[in-house]
Order: sequence, then C-alpha cells, then structure tokens
Amino acid sequence: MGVTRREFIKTTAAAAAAASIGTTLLPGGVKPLFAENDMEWHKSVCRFCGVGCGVLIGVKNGKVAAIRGDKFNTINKGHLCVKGFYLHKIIYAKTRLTHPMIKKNGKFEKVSWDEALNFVAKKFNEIRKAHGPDALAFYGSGQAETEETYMANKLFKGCIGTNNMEGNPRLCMASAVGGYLTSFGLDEPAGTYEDIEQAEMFMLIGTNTAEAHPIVFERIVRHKMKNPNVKILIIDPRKTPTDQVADLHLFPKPGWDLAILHAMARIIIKEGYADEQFIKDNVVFKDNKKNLTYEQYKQFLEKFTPEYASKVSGVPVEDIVKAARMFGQAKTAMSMWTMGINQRTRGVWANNLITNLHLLTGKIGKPGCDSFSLTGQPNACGGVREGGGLCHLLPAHRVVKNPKHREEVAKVWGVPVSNIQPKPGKHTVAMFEALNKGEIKGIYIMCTNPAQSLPNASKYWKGLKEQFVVVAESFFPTATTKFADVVLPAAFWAEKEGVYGCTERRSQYMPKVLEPMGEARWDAFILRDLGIRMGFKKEFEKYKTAEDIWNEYISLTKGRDLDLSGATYRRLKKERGLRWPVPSEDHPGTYKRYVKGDPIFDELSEEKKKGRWIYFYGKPEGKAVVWARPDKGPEEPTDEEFPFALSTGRVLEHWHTLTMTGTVPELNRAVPKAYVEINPEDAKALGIANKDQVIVETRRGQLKIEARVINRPKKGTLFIPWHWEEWMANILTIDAFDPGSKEPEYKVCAARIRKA
Amino acid sequence: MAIAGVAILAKKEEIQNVYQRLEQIPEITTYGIHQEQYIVAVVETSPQQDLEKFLKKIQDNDPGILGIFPAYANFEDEVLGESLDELV
Amino acid sequence: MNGKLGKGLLVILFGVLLIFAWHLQANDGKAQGEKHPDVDFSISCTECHQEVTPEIVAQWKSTKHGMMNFGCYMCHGDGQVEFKAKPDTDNCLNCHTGEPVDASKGGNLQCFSCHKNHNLKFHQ
Ligand code: SF4
Repeated sequence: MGVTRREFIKTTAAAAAAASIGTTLLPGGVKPLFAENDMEWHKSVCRFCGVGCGVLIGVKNGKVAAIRGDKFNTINKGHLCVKGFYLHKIIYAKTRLTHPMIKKNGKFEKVSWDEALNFVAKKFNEIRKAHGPDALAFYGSGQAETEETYMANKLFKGCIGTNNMEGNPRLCMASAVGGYLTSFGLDEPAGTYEDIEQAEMFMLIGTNTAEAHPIVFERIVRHKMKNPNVKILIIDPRKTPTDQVADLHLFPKPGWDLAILHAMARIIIKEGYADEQFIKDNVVFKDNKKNLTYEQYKQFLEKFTPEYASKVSGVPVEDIVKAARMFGQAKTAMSMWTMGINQRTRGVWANNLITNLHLLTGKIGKPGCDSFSLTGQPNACGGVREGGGLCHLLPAHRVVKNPKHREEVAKVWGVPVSNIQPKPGKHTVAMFEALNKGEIKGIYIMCTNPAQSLPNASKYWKGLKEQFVVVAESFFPTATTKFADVVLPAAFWAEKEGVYGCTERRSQYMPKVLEPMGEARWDAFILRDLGIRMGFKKEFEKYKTAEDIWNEYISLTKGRDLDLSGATYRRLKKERGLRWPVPSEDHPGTYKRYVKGDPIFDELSEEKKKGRWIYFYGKPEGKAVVWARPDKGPEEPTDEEFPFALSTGRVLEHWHTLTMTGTVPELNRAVPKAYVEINPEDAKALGIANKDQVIVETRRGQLKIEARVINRPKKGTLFIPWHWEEWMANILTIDAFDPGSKEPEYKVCAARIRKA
Repeated sequence: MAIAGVAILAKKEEIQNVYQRLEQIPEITTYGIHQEQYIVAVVETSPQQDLEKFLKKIQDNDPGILGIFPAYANFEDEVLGESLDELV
Repeated sequence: MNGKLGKGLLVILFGVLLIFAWHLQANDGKAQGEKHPDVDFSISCTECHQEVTPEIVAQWKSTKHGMMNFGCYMCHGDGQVEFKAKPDTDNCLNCHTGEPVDASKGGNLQCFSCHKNHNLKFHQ
C-alpha cells in the first residue's frame, strides 16, 4: 500500500501533536514544553532576606540553570519575590572574585592562597604581638552562615583573645535584641509566621513589608483577601507599597512615634481593652530606674493623652484613638516592625513600647498574637544573634560577661578560659572609630561592605585607608575592597553548605551543589586555615567538614533557650528547617515559646508555673516587663537650617549595596538609579520638579541626586533608597546610636534640599 | 504550503461541538479527542495563507477553544517547490 | 529511490529547522530580531509605560503581580539584554509550582493561553 509524502507528513504532525499532550497516536514524538530535561533539583534557602524562603536550585550539566520556589516549604509555599527569582543568575556574575589578591604599590596583584594567608597571618601576629589582641578586629555579616560566624568567633574571641568581633546585624537587629531581652528576658520572638493566618489585626510599624519582606507581605495580603475583616494598621512616616492593604495609616514625624505607642496603651487601659487577669498573672512594670506598680504605670501614662501624642508626632488625635481601639478590639493581633523602629537612638525603647501593647492586652502566646520583629538579613538571627557574633556575646545566647558562659564555651573550643576576655569588645561604630584613631590596626571583614553601609560612611574611610584591611568577599570590586590590603575570594551561595536561621527561629540547611568559582573557598575554611597559620593548629585542624562545625555549635546550644541539639544535618537535609527549641532528634520543633508545646515550658515544675498557661521563663517569676520609657525624639531633630527629616531604606528589587542585585539586568532595569522622594507640596514650595537634579545636604555631607516628586513621604520628610555606591545615601546619615543597643539612627537625620 | 500538527485545548463541556465545527473546516483533519479536553489535529494551509494567522483566526472565531498549540510544522514544498503527492 | 530518500531527509531536516524557527516565533516569542525600541533606558519600564501604555500598567497594577511589584521585566526581559514581546511561560513556573493546574502535564499548554491580558484573568 502506498503512502504519499503528504500523508506521511500529516501522520508525523499528528503524532507530534499528540505526544505534546502526553498521548501517543504513533510511536515517537516530541518533548512536552514543560519537561524538566534532566534538571536536578536541590532544596535550599534564598540568599537574600530574613524571610527565609525555600528555593529549589536547578542544576544541569554542572551549572545552576534555574531557580524555583519550594512548594513544600511552609514559609513561601513555592512563591518567591523578584530578588529570589533571579538568585541563580548572580552566581555567574562577571564581578565574581576568583583569585586572592594582595595590594602591592597601590595595585592588586593575583597571588596564591598560600601567599595570601601567610601574609595575613604574619601581619595579624605582628600586630597582636606589638599592640595586643585588641588591636585586631573582625567585622562579619548577617548573611554569613552560622558555621562561618562560629569559626570567626572562635578565632577572634577564643584564640586571638579579643572581643572586637562584630557584624552588620549591629546595624539592623541590635535594638530588637535589646527589646526582647528587656521585655521578655530572652531574645527572639515567641511566635512564628504561622500566626499570620490566625491574626485578626496587624500593626505594621516602621516597616515597608511589601518591599523589605515581600513574602511575609504576600501572606498578609492572601490572609486579608480571604478574610476582609482583618484590619491592618500602619505607622510609618512614609506611604509605601505596603499601603495597598492598609485600613488606617498614621504618619508620625520621623522619630516621634514613642508618644503614640504610649497614648495607645493609655486608651487601651482606659477603655477597658486591657486583659487585667493576664496583667496580674504575667506582667511587672518598670521604668528606667525602678519597679513600678500598675497604678504608678497608669500614672505615668497620664501625660500621654492623644492630644499630647498628636502634638508631638503630628498625627491627628482621632487617628491615634482609632488605632488604639483597632488594637484593643481585635481578638488577636500581631505587630511587625523592622528598621524604622530598630535604627533609632531609642530603638530599644520603641521595641519595648510595641511589646507593651501585647502584654497589656494579653495578645501574646496565643495563636495569631505576637510582637514579631522582622529580621533584615537571612542569617542575622541564626548566625549572629544565636551564634554570638557580636562583641558582648558568645555562642548560643551567651554573654562574655558571665564567667560560667566563658567557661562552657572555652571548654568546647579547647582554649584556656583566660583567652576569652570578660569585657565586651568594641561595638560597630566604636570599632570603626578605633580604626580611624589607629587603636585597631588590623581588621578582617567578611561578606559585607561597611565602606558603603556604615552610617556617616565617609567619616570611616580614613581608618580603612590607613590600617591593615583584609576583605573576604564573593564580589569585586566593592566600596570596601577599594580600601583592602588583601582580598580573599569567598565561595558564594550554592557553592558551600551551611545553615541559615531566619526570622521565625527556623534553621534551614543549604547544600553545596557547585564547586566554587575559580579559586574561591568557603569562608569558614579560610578562617580555619588562617587560624592554623597564626599558630592555632590544635584548635582548628579538627574541622574537616561543615557538619563538624555545626555539630560542635549545636552541642553548645544543648539546654539553652535556643536548643538546637535535635537539628542535626541529617534532619535538616530532609526537612524544611526546624524552629528551636528542638531538644532532640525526635522533637518536631516549637511553634510558640513560653506556652504548652514549648519543651522548656513543659519541663518547668508545676510549683513554678502555679497553673499559669504562659510563663516568661527568661524573667524572674516568669513575668514579662511593661516598660514606662520616656518619650524621646531623634538625635538630630529638624531645625531652621535643616528643615527636612531624611530617611533611607530599601526598594523591593535591590539588596544592600548592590554587589548581588546590581549584576542582574532585569533588576537594574526595574530600579536603575537612586532618587530622593519629596512630597509634592514641599517640591512646589522649593520649585523642584520631578526628575530635577537636586542637592540633598546634611551636617555630614551632600549628594547630587534626581528628585522624585511623589505623594509618598510625609510633608517635611525626604526618602532615599540606599543601595547605590554612586549615590551613597550613607554619606548623609548620622552615626549617633542607641546607648543600649549601639544601633545607629539611620532612619532619621536633619537635611535640606535644593535644586542643583 | 504548510502542514502543522496541533493540540487544541477546548472547554470540556464544549469539546464535542468544537470537534464538529473543526471537522467542517477544509484545512483541518482531526485525530480524535484526548484527555477530555484536547483535540489532536493537522492543519494544511495554502502558500497564500499564513499558518500562524490562520490558527489565531480559528481560535478567535470559536469561543470553545482555549488554545491551539503547534507541535510540528512542515514547509517543505514551499521551500523545495516539490509536489507532495508522489508516493514514497 | 535512494537519492530520493536522501533528498527527502534533507527536506525533513530543513523542515525541522524551519519548524524550530517558527516554533520559537509562535510559542516562545523569543524570535530573533525582536527588539525593544531604543528608549531612555535609564528609567524603569513602568515609569515609561505609565505614559505610553497606561491601560496595560493599570491592568497589571490591579493584579496581585502588580501588588507584589513583579515588574514588566519578569516576563518580557529587561529590554536591552533580552526582550520578549510575547513572553514564554518558563518563568511562571518558578513560583507557581504548586498551582491547581499541574502545568507539567500540559504538553504545549502555555500559561498565557488561559491567563490572558495583563490582568492575567483566567479564561478571558
Ligand atoms: S522574600 Fe526574601 S527570602 Fe523570600 S524570595 Fe524574596 S528575598 Fe528571598
């Protein structure tokens, strides 16, 4: 039987079409469009923000070819924000640093690892010998893995013997730590993201959640779309994309919101929204000097009438009343905040006053209730807060001041306890100040870019220029590598394994799916090898794998509030993270602290609990503290000379100093350059039109930048996204810091603006 | 002329009607309904017709069609100017 | 006969190449030569499109994608390095991994076949 070519082709065509929908008419066919073509998927975690979304890394032919949201991760259920979406592209950025380099005669020259590490070891030892251990310092990152920070901690605090060991979480989370410690006695939130879907009301204060914590925002949006009765209150001097879901927005003058929180507390008590039984059982009152009675606290609040708060903050009286009622009437409430509260000279106090509202209304410890601080960086909680990567801390929520803590840590580290100094080292601003003064002569900077990210940045370039600076980085150049004497290429995300701990106390494992690019090496091993070369062979040669380091670290968490001893690599590799406390390998992790289900609460004796359903075991008698803090404005209020309040912040599409997102064409297209947002009324008064070049000036510096006339910042305020080196907002910001948390006040300073 | 194999996705409740309507079109040969919502078909267009436009027109004219997905196309006579009606 | 078969194979090969080109054009929109008009690339997509195609921007803004600021570039490329007038659906699946329609079973089914326009309404 003959077949014509036409028929032959037609049958082939039909077969191909059938195959494309997974059916066969005839043997053979074409691949369906969505076929995975040999892609291998690896479970990991997003490199960017503290939300901690689960991702799947797609590897094909030994290259990372794709990224996907991990639908089995309960944080993001498969969704990603625009940054996470392009994560895989960053691995192959042209700006990856692939060789160690030493600056010789002002120019970087490629050298071998041996030469670089020997050089650094020799220099550090010389400095240590001539000027003592405190002439050395380490500056790390909330983006480093827990294992990496752990190694740095051991090298600097345990071996070199200096507590000058800090990290950029000082610039972002320190006030939240201070807040939790003073209110509850223990760091990190009681609740988790699971509370979002059970909350009736959200108070978003000092957070642009939509842009800085997009997937948290997405969960709030979803929840509100399903439950239109959910109320959202925003307190922020700037209108942001988060406003898309707001029911009420209070616009305080930047830095003047403490009075509002007190006024809300006053209304809540006066109008009967307080949970008096909860207060009686679980709360004590304090001011900066002494204990107070409930009555005395009420007395203290008398000053904070809505009218007073309105006068101080510029928010209409009725809005303050509405906000207080909204919080009081909701059965469950969750407050969230981030840099707008933390980056303040009274950041700790602001944190306390938020938690006050929860303690007064008993909206804590129950599903849908929490005072929930949003963390900026992916491992600020895990590596630095829990891992003890600040100058006063030791691993697992320990402090250098406590002799018992020093002993416990020294034992595990295998170093004499006398190596660990009892006195806290220099906090970030003091550290760079000391570098300027020459008191610190050598610094090791890992995975961060302080030359651009410090407040009042240009002031600290002097020290970076003059002292011996080692920078371990995945990218080159950055504002900081310019000042480096040695740069060490660090393996990037997906080229190393390790653990990140996100906002909700969850530790998640990231696999190594690629060999590091060029000669790059894992930061933890760079530090190990440096330690060995500095003479600490015995202390460091035992670490052969990431798991060795992790196991040692979790052994230090045993019996602590953040017990991670059940979170072994074996488990973390399988599960989508675990929320501590996880005291044993068969423990599922903890949804809520201080209540039933929290293994530490469950183990407390009945005698102690006295029938209470919640027990803040970080505080005496398990009672949390409601703080009567004075209301104080910013360090540098506006005046006639500098009439605008300047604030800085993020945009959705970019991350910190652009070393990563700046390499993705799509993200650059989305927001190609910096700008200053100015309110249309202010712009009109100053004759500034949209897209005009303007000069923004503070007492510290000036910046030429494009104006964006937009109804976002409140009248009298300016806003600049801080990501670009070319338009470096931190030349303008103030380096005054919170006396408690030592966190600088990035969010408010006085400025003026004029047409260029 | 072009010969193309396509999978046509139709609304489930409409699929029988869509199938009948497609059978009326001279350029289309149908190859059955699959998975309750797909019709496999082959489209032959004359050299004067643009295949893509043709498919789009079919889709736009039939509200029961949700999408047409070409899986294969052959333009050889347009290219080589040969007759396809010879026996192979 | 042999010569004819050889020629036939050649023809098929040529056909396949053409199909390939056409396939791309029809399905992926990654057609060669697709180019975004030269514009002021120092501003963002939306800034310009707000003025030139306000309806499209408004449609997009009305969706959850707009709410989350999933910009034009996510489907259409950045416009300079890459531009797809008709986007493909590969990118959709990076986030929509657990959606009710299991796209991996869809054969040549494209997300945009059902989710149309810039509000991506289903079955519009
Ligand atoms: S929300 Fe944060 S963690 Fe999630 S994808 Fe975006 S940047 Fe990554």
